[in-house]
Amino acid sequence: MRRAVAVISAIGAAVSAYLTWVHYSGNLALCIGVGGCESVQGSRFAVAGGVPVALIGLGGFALIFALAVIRLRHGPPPWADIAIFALSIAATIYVSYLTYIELFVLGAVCPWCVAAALCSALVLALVSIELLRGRSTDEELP
Amino acid sequence: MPPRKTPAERQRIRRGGAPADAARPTGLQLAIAGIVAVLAVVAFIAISGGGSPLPSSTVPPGVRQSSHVRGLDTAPVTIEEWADFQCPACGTFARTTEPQLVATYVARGQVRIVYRHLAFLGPESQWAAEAAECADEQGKFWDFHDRVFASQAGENRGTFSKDNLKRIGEALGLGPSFAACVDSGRYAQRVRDETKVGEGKGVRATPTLFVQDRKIEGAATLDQLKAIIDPLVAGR
Repeated sequence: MRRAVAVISAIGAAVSAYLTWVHYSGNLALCIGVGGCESVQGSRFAVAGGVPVALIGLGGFALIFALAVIRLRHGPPPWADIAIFALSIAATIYVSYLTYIELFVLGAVCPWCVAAALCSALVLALVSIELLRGRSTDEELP
Repeated sequence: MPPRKTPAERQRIRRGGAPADAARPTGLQLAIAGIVAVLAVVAFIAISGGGSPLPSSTVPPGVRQSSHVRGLDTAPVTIEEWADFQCPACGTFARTTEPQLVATYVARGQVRIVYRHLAFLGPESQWAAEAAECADEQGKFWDFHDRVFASQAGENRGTFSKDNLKRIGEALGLGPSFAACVDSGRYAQRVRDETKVGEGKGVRATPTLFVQDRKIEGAATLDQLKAIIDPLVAGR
């Protein structure tokens, strides 16, 4: 389960990295009359507090991935569990808010943003199941 | 066959013999972490205002703006911008690159920007373009342009309904004739004609910029434009 968290957070980081590259490169910053990503990426909601939302996502997923790697070691520190739990909650709430903006304010959905949202929700679900049930080591010991 | 270990025993072994409770976060710690995470995100959304701020003005004092032109007629380089008020990429260009362009080149008399309508994303694009022409009647085309691009929130969802466009005009201090102009549709044909001219020039997406004769599609960055503008300015 911990490996799954590491893999999913890495996917989330990769998706966010791509969206960050799109933001800074200006690629897809073009209206051709169709497309959800151009509407979402070009909207004023793509930047929060002066920082591109994609970059915030990249930072968040990178931190979660780093914590997930730490938790792959034998005897991980309890703070790593607490931190990954808190971060995955924060990430899921924030992407839920962004998904609400996409659906109900912009009326456009960017598949890449949906992928990042799914990654954060999956990470939260896996970490929650693991921590709340306390079965993180069952798979590895007889 | 060895007896199967309980989860607590396995946990203890996994952690090198340390007591299991000491090695795992408690429910209270997780609850506190969860609450802190929720509060932090809510505070961030509230502080960031849910998006980039709406600029009050993107033009430094002294820059000449008349009708659809920003800059001096004598500027050696002309950038013709074909845009749609609903296009998010045009919004990005208007909110980021254009103010930089104005501060770097237009304010020095080296570049002038000419705005052209390519209202192709739906009825609200058409209405917004017509309203910009109405604002132009009162010398506020560019103020209206900046405010509309700062107000984008989805396409054809009522953001640029005629009522909302009138509210934008009202906020800019445009008189009652503005609202009457928006309702009249008197610039509808002009906007449609200009859109056809753009399509005739091969404009298929927005924003499309023509820097002199060179065509650039998409929200170009200042660096991308510098690479084209600087040699043209130096050559004069």
